[in-house]
Amino acid sequence: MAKETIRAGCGTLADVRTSDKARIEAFDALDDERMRLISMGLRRGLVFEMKHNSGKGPVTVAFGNSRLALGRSLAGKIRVK
Amino acid sequence: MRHLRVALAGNPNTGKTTIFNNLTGGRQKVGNYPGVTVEKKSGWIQRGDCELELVDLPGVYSLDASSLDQQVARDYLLREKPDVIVNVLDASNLERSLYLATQLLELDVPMVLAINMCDLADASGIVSDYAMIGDRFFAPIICMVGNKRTGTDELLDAVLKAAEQPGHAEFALSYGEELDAAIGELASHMDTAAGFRDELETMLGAERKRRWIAARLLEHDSGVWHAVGNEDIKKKAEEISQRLAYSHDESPAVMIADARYGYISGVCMEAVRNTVELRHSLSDKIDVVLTHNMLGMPIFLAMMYIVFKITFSLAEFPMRLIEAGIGWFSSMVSALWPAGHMMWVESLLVNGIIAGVGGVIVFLPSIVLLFMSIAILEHSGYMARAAFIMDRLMHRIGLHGKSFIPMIIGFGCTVPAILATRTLDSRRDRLLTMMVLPLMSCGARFTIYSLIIPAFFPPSWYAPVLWLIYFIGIALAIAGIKLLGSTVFKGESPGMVIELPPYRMPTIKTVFIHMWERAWLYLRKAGTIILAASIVMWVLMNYPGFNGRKTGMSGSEMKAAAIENSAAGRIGKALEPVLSPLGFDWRIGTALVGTIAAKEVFISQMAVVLATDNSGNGESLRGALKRNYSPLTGFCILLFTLIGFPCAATVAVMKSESGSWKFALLQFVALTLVAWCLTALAYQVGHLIPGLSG
Repeated sequence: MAKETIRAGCGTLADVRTSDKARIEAFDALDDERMRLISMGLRRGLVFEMKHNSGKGPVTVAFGNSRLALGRSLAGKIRVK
Repeated sequence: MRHLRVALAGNPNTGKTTIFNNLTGGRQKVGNYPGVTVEKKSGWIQRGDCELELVDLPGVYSLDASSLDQQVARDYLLREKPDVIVNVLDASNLERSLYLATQLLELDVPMVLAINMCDLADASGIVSDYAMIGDRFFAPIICMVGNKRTGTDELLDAVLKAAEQPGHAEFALSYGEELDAAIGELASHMDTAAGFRDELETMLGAERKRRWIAARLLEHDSGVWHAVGNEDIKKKAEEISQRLAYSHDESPAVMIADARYGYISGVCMEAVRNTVELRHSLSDKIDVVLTHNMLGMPIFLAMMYIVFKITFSLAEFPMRLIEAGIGWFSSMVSALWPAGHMMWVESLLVNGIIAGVGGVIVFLPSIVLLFMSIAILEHSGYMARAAFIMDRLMHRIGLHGKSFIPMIIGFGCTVPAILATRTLDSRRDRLLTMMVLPLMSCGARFTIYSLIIPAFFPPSWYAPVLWLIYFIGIALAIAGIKLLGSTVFKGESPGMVIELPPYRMPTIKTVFIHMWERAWLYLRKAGTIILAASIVMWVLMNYPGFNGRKTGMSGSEMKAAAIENSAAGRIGKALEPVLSPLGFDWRIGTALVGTIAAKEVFISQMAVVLATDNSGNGESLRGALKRNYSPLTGFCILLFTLIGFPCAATVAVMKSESGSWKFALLQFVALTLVAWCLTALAYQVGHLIPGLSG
């Protein structure tokens, strides 16, 4: 398992800065949005690394060998720690 | 002979299609509109005394029916019940890939796990005990390297063996004590519900286990929910699911998903060891540049520029060869024809069929190259990055980046582009994207542009005029999305999530198959629709003949009178009041009407009309156009063919994909009206500028 540098406090995925790691805590997304995220691997408890977050536009997260791009509004509905 | 149906299922970007191509070789049925796999595709092979029908399903992450491509895969698996499922997994992404496997496992169909790209996983330091994974998923496991063709034979052997063994009926994934109990409760309620047994048999094709249905009902799976008619059972399901949600603060769907991942994590913890820390791969380094905030967009535009540059310049030489070949063939037929015998047949052959079909076949090289470029963009993984880059912009007009992928495909052909909208997650986004897709200049329009632009403009203008036309299409699409999004299709698009697959070198075989499919479709179109249209056009041009002889008429006057008197001439004359504000004469008018059948018909039609019109043989179509019309008219032709008259294939696919004639007709009428208004505006304004209309 990769070393974790979990940042203190709770925010959304959209607030995680590039190269930081975080863990998914909960979803505020709608049911079918949430199921889509889960089926693509973004599940509760997942530790991911932020690959690209420029503060505007979509973000890219990495876990294992997957790279997922998320729209900013959706990223704002995922609570992380 | 035994007949087996084998379905290939798996996540997108796992190399499923490569394996399918390896298995079937060239012996696959070319789908009507290839492109991204959003439709299932069949291929047949023979192995021993067994005939295998292989079905390549759209790549999906799960069997939830949230988008249409997932529904296609799911419907096939549930209703047609294949004999064996081959689940293709990505070796370097096992945990995520196995999520679908847990769902497939519950379908009671023998399964074979094909682990693809084993070499990449080895190289990145992932050590997996595949035997153990196979054991836990009750399926034989085959290691494959799809693009090196390893494992193909072993996979076929495993499929044949699996077909002989009964399903893993004993396996039932536990979702945890409480959920299992709830499912049991609902399942026993089904037993007591009157007549429900019979309903089960009919509604899902094959008899499903009650437990499976009960679990799907608790998940609120929309497919199963709608299939079940018994209100009593649904009420009970709702009641239990609310009770669970209340006590866990989480919906049963998420709890079940968590349980699936729990099972997978358990297996992977034992079987997969990552010997190397997560690190920046080459793909990540490329992405730093290609998806860069400032650089991403210019690089994307440069990429598109290169695509069209390749299409234009590489196609030039083969196009000239084909043109010369057709010219030679046409003059051979004329020369060898016995003079005075059935001259109408000669005219039909030379002026109708060879001029019409030949005029379209000339553009085959550019079509093939255009689709080669799109195939490379798609298979290299860049397409997903384009969606990423465009997301910010698309967001501003009320869609998200994923809608941009069908738009790029639309530069090839509108029909597969409309099919590609199946990957979008909401109906609103799908319809909104579909409505504007014909404004992306497709390959057939491109052939019109490459006929018209060099005919009327000096070489230094070629590129700017072409860009202008593409740009007008894109700008109109944006305006259309804005307008429709705030009126007809109100609402918000769901959040975007899209996988950025690692960059890969597309295999020559994959690109070649893609190109071949397109070339074949194009030639088929030339041999059917365009052939028929050319013949119809020739007949309309030549009948009824002109009999009113007058003294003192020269040969060309006679000919002009004959054309005016022909059916095409009369139709054109009738249309003239509508066409003259656009600067079009009756000849262009009839050709434009022909574009409803297929855009390329414009070229063949003009070839037929002008060949009949001018007496001088051997003049190229471009020369004839230049002699007859002004550059302004040329530009108006570009504008009208860009916007107006979506082709018949587009209308048909719009109807089937949107589910009603309403949207197909709305699109057709709206686009044609806009085309008329804008072209009239362009012509009337352009007319005032001296030198343009000369």
